[in-house]
Amino acid sequence: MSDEPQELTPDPQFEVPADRGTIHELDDALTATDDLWGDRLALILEAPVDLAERTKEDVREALLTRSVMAAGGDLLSLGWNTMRVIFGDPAPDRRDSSRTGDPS
Amino acid sequence: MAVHLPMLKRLKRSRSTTSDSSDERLRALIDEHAAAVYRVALGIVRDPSLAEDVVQETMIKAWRSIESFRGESSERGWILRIAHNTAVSTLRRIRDEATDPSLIPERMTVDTETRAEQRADLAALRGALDELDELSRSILVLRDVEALPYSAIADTLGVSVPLVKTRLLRARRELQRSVEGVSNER
Repeated sequence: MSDEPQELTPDPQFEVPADRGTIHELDDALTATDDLWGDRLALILEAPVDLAERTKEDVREALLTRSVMAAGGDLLSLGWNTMRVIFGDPAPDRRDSSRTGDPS
Repeated sequence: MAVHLPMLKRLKRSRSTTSDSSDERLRALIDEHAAAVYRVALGIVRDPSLAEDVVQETMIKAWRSIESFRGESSERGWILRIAHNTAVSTLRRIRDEATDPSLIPERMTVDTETRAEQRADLAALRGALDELDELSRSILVLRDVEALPYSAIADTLGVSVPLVKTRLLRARRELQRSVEGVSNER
């Protein structure tokens, strides 16, 4: 590599408008069209009048279903653990000693 | 009995979803933001029933993570970010699943009893909105309908403020061209 300084060419993708006028022009153009579309867009994107009420019902139902399913899963796991306690589950150390056949 | 702790936590949580105060909080959240979430969702998915699904999913996600909301941004901005992400992933999932192009939502069907000319204008506007890319549609809805500040839109969509402004201006000009084109044809 030569020690001479190389001329850098700007990458057009990262080029920032050097002219502050351009930024102001953009802001001005946006300000000039700020109120042009809002009302009409709101009209075509209008939500149904009963949306909130229906959503409340649906969300409550979905949350309840999910929490019941989670609780059901927990109860099954509780039942399994209870069975293990009642009917005895060999503790790891006892199991290990029976496997190795240690006489002590 | 460490094994039972998660269950107690979940039961506590499930009880809390049905307690009066949290029920009220959930209702208030939906009352306050459902319509805005719907508009953002419809702007992206372009199908009213899908937009309603997005509203429901957004509210569930927001409700579940409401404790992690630190108030660094506005609650509206926070919920609209969830809505935007949910709508985009819904649309992508449908595009992935749909082999028949007719199953992909392309048109919004909204009943508006307005005069014929207004209807034509709105139809042209709807068509022009359909022609925009997802990002431009989101920016347009978040700014022109929801009136979010540029910085909040940039934050919501994970892009820069200059990009938001440039895309917004371009989108508005596209809408202008489309609507003027329809008017000139008449």
